Amino acid sequence: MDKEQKNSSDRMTRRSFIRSSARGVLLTGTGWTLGYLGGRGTAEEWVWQIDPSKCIYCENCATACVLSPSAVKCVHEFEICGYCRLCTGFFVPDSIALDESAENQVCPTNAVVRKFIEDPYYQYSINEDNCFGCGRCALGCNAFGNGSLYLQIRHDRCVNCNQCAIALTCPTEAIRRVPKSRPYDKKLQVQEENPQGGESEA
Amino acid sequence: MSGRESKENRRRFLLRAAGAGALLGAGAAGGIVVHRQMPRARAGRGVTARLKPGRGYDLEALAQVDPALIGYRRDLRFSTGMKAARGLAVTEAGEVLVAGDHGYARFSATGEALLAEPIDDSARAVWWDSESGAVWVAGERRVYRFAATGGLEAQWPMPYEGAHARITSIATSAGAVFLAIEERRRGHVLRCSMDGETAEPLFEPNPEEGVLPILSPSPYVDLGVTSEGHILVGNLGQCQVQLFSATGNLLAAWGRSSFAIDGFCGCCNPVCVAALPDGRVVTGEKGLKRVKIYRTSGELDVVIAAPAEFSAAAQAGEPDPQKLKGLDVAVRSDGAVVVLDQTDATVHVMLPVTEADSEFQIVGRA
Repeated sequence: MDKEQKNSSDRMTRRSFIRSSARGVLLTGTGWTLGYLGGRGTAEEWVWQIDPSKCIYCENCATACVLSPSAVKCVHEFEICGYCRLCTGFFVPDSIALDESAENQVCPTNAVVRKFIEDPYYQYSINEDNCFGCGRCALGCNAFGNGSLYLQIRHDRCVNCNQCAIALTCPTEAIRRVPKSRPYDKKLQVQEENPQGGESEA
Repeated sequence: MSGRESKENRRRFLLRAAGAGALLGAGAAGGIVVHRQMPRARAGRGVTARLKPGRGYDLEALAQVDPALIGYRRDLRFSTGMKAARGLAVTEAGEVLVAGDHGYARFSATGEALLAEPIDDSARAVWWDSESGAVWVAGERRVYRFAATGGLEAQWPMPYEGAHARITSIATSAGAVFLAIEERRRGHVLRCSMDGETAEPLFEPNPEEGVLPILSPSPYVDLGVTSEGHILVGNLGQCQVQLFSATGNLLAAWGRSSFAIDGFCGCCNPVCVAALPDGRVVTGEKGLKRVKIYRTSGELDVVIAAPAEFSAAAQAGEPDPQKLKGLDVAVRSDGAVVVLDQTDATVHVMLPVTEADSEFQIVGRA
């Protein structure tokens, strides 16, 4: 008699099967939610950034960003700069004169500021209010100079979209997520991290 | 409830608790993994090229060279197998010496590797001494002399104070060693004794008399020696070639910055110089990789190689900051010009185009 009762209580009915399955799904779902929320609380946050070694200065950054003007700006790494009198990031090819006249400048918005330091050296800096990220200066600097001018997403402007609109148009997949704790890609830093890759001596 | 039933119930409870714990844990792990992978998955998603027509620097247009000006053809191309090949020299027998990585390598005239010798430093330049047959190798801050048959004979430190100074080129002439040194965007040429014990500047800049200081926005100050023993200096920051006697008198200076074929492109060229036996000067440029020959008066004579001659990765516009971008040139005794392309560490042997070559090409095309 006892044995019969036990067998009937152990038998899986439809109701008990549904109840067990629902319990399992509930537990797994709770675990998933807790894990996701826990991971969000502890994992590093990510922001969008341009890899200078992949950028080809195609000008898409100037127009594809959801912001106007773009959150992409030219930055200048002074340690690499040659402080040239004739800067190919500042002057158009074979410019009429080596002065600040508009017709001599490669930047269409006068965002690259040229300042005399001592003969024959000049310092170049970026006026970010004027820069809209076309990268024409960076193209000239990287092709003929030391490559000290390059494009970066400035995080005082970037709204960190879930999907960066520029990344969708970038032909070289140069835009990717980086940890928020290291939001910029310095060229010298990249070289230090990849010592086997050679040296930059543009 | 009997003790047996109680035991059975406890066992069943523990089993169910373990199952629930496993489900909860698996769910949590899945959630964490999905959260961590999501940004990377988003970042790598579909990319569509929508390029507009280029403006500003039109590198393709700038790289065009009139084929009628090109008077050389490539006879041979071989890889040095180095990660960072920097300097080039050629021996009397046509053997090619390449400085790079941590040493120098010797190749036969047909490109077969013959010998490789290490140094303690990053090798930056190499020179073959035609008088003794010795091979001089410059590291960043040391000078090494190897015997003609191989084997280190001597070494001495760069005789120049300066924490940021480094050697960019080396040459020998008139019983002296000449070192080109770059330090904080300035260049210097030292005339040293063969044992490195004494050293003095080859010249003092005097702009009023046309002796411009050497500017070195990037570390490519190069030296060459003419058949008369005079010293060629590639003053890249001034876009000039300077010719000095071995005692430091300025004999000639010419050159201008221009993207036209007769000028030196951009801010910092030529990055290498060498002298032909008849005194004409071979120059190499980075950015637009052009190798040309100038007459002693500074007029363009002939183009040896246009940018298209070099590999696609080595041409202007290559954005990879990890790559060296320059050239080095050397001249063989038969007039062939040997070019080292630092970008892909390859050696190109260029020969003058003869009438027979022209006929062959015409027949070949027909």
